[in-house]
Amino acid sequence: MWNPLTPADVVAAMGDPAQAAARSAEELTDWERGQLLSVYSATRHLAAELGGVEPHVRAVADELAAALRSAPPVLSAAAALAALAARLEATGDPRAVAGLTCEALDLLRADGSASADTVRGDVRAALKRAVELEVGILADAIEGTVPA
Amino acid sequence: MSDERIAAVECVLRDAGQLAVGAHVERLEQLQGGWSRHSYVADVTQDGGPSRRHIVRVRPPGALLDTDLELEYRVFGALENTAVRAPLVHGIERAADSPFGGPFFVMEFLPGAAPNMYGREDQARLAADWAGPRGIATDMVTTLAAIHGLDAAALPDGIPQLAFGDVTARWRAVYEDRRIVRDPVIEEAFDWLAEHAPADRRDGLVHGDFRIGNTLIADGRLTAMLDWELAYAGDVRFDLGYLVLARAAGKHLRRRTGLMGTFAQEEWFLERYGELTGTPVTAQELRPFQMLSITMLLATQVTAVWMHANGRTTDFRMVWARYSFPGLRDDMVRLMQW
Repeated sequence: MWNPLTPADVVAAMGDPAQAAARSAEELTDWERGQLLSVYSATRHLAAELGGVEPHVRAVADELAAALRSAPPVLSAAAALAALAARLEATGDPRAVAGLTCEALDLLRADGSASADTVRGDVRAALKRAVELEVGILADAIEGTVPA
Repeated sequence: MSDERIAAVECVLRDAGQLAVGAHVERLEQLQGGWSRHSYVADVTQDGGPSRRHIVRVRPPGALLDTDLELEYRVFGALENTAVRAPLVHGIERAADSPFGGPFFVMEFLPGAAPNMYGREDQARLAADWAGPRGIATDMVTTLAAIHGLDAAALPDGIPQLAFGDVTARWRAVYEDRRIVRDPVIEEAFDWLAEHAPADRRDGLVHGDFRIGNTLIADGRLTAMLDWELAYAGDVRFDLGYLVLARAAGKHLRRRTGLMGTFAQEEWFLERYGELTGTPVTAQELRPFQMLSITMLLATQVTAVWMHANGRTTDFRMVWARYSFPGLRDDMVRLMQW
């Protein structure tokens, strides 16, 4: 979900091998064919990412924000966590969601109290659901659904 | 293929006493694949007679991992006359400005093909071996036990001595240096590793990338263990942790075979390994090494994406590497038992 590079970056990078193949007057080498096969594979992943995964980003961000807002006021970083929650609620960029979550986890690790560990557990649970959601959507699209 | 490259290979072979008077490299062709090394096959002939084949292994400019080609060459040399099947090395050209664009060494060509652990046909072939003669499974466990049982004195000078914490620090540094996006699951995994570092040590030679895809198989038997660029002296359980990863069994997003590494049942392999080395090993004690292996894999993928994003390569596979993250994150979450 918060993989490096944006979908736009991936599409832009597809141009070079496609153009090189189209302009080649000679039979493609194994390496050039391999490049085009990687592009083909990426198109399938990208379609699943844009159509299946990205629509869930806002819900994931909201779930992470809710976990941070559950932090008790006695936590040393409660105010900072609330500020991060507000930023999570305002973004639809999965890479921003990841960065903000890392900042929150930094604060929770530094606190180290039982209350902080509880919040950290809630954050992990939300991350787990996001990871399983993404891998499930991509797997269904790329590898096919698991037979019942 | 350029005359300069052919001349460079002939020079190394001549210096090594592997090129008879009148013999020459007739054909030099790049093999498919390779991330941190490029490989070429060189056919040597004399007076139109049958050709003798060699492999040229090159560290190209902008290699994915910053690993030492000369050390890899010396590891191959140290394996000569041991029970570990590996090609003999003939000679090395250390110059970075060689006609290949980097240093290279020339080694023996051995018969066989490297199985594709992601390919359904090769997975089926390996499953058939497991269900039948088990030649590949037996060779894999025998080879790994032999690697881990090598006398420390036989290891080449300069081989890195890396404790568990050193390896963790190595891959964390790559992540910190090359990441484009902070990843909360990866960062929690590094934290988990710090809390789950093994209390004991089992030191020996670690291959560092021990999997079926780095072997040559011919007629149902292992003819060579290849790709020693990540070798180091350290806790040998790294190789076992790496091998029991779902990834080593061909998992991209979902696991596709129940066989460990695509070639053997995990319990059988670990039990046989314990018998051969005289030291039992449990699946439970391998969990930190599994996680360490995943951080290594992710560090390479982080680097791949970084290289493309920063104009160091136009290889589209480096962009595709971003799709390795979901499956590996899934493995991390499972290991941490969230």
